[in-house]
Amino acid sequence: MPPAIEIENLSKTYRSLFGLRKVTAVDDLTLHVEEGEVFGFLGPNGAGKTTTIKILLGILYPTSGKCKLFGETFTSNSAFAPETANSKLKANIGYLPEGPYFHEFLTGKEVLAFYGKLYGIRGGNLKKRISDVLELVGMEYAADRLVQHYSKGMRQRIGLAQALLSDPKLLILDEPTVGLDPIARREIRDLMLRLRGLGKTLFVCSHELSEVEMVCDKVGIINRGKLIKYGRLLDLVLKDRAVEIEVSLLSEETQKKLEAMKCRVERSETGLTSVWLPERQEIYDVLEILRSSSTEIVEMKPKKESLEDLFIRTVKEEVA
Amino acid sequence: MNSIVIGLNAYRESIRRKTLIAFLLFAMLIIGSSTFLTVLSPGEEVKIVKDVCLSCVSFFGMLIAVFAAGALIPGETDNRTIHTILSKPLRRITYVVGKYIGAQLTIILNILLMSILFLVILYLQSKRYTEEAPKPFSVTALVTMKAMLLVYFELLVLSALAFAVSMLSTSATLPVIAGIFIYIVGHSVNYLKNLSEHASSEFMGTVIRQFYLILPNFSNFYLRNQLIHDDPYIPQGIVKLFIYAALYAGFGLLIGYILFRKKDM
Ligand SMILES: Nc1ncnc2c1ncn2[C@@H]1O[C@H](COP(=O)(O)OP(=O)(O)O)[C@@H](O)[C@H]1O
Ligand SMILES: [Mg+2]
Repeated sequence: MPPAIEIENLSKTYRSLFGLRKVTAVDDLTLHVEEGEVFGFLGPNGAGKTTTIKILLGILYPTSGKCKLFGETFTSNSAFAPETANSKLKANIGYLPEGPYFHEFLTGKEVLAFYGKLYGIRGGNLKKRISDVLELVGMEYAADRLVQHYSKGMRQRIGLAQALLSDPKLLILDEPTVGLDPIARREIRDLMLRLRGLGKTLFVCSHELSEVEMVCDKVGIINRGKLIKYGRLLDLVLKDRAVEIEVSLLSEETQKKLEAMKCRVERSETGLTSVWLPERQEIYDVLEILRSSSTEIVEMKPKKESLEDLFIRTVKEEVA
Repeated sequence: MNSIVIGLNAYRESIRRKTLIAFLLFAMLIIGSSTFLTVLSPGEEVKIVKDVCLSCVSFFGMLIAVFAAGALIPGETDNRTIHTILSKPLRRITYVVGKYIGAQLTIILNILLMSILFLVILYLQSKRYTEEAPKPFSVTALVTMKAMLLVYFELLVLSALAFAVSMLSTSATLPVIAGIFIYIVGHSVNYLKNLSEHASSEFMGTVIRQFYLILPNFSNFYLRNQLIHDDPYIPQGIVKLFIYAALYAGFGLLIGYILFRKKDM
């Protein structure tokens, strides 16, 4: 089975009207997302996430490189190539834009009917699909209200609903939880988990890391247009920093011993010191050193590096 | 089929636009009160009403057309609904044609409303000034309807050109200005022809001639004389004029599509 998404050496440079100012938003990006996978596309604001997504959907054209969806070339930068074309392919894709915006003079239901018709869904089938997706996102109660009176969370849900209309195999979500209250966030996250359970491929773009962490199989971290970390979430984190030991009054001598064992020592302003272990099995060796130097252990906890830690570390390394 | 979906949606959006409603109300106000203007020249009441109303429909029709067609895509780019729409299984050509259809529905509705009021006013006048109108009202009505149809043909062209220009722009300002400019120049093509014949230099004459050769001649669509004389005869023929307009409109749409085809949104 071909991957759901293949992005190869993709670059995008925005040019101002006379080509005076150039911004390279995406720089030689290569990544794959397999079918059924949940991919977290992460990066700080302005990293190039939305740009990548828009190229995937044929809303923007790349400067170079190409994208394939389900094994078929989807976008090409050649002026003579057919415009984004492949409608059948697009029927398999649902897209939630960043901060989705709809025709304000329509009700939620009318918005869905409009997009449903663009998928070629008509009549009784359309009615059924609309009520299905409204139920899925929990918006039946407000479906007949005008979109202009919707809150941010409601817009986000209608946005998800329209992305789900064709029961697509691939969902591309641009910042699905940004600006939502904790309850709404939780619900959207649960919905993503449900979709994952249904076997959908999800491409989730976000800088809300704790949420992504709970749903993603694989992540890519992009900064200034370049992919700087890419792989299975479990492979990227946890390699390092398995246990954190907090001690009081660590002597220089003991610190040297620990560092010789590849432990990382961080002295904090509180007077406490954190000792990070590279691997769990050395823990008794480390404890032995601490015991022999009579160092007082304040706290000891097994620690998994969070995606946030990874993200901040990676972006910082990149800047340095 | 998707073009119709896009078109109806664009139409629903357009008829809510305050600018367009304001233009329509203003035009209706002028048409409705045109009978009061006639006190200025007694004996020519019917002629003045026809003159005022025709130019009013033409002028406000033009404003409505360029605003309706010129603002559609910049508006949708501005509020970013275009991203969601283009992510759906539809080709950009479908989208462009759909939007143009939406603009046409809006223009037709507006022209229709203005024409109905125009006809009502003419009917009331024909009752009042029987001696001034030697022909039966049915003839006047026929000529008026033809005149309105030709105004619409002109707007078909104008809206397509404004629509094409709007592909280059992020706001409606540029297409609106371009549309008004084309309207003015298109109505002066006969003067340009004259000018080219009497130009001071050979070169200037050639330049001006190129202009009037490529520009649509909107005076063909302006049935002022026929309207005033209740004369239903149109020398060029309605079908020919329609083809003339459709060719220009098709050209505008084509340019618009070429500009939009690979545009980054
Ligand atoms: N239409 C545009 N014209 C010029 N520059 C743009 C445009 N859109 C985005 N950019 C720039 O490209 C970079 C990436 O933007 P974007 O893809 O929106 O980032 P993200 O979604 O990761 O926050 C930013 O520096 C942004 O300023
Ligand atoms: Mg973004």
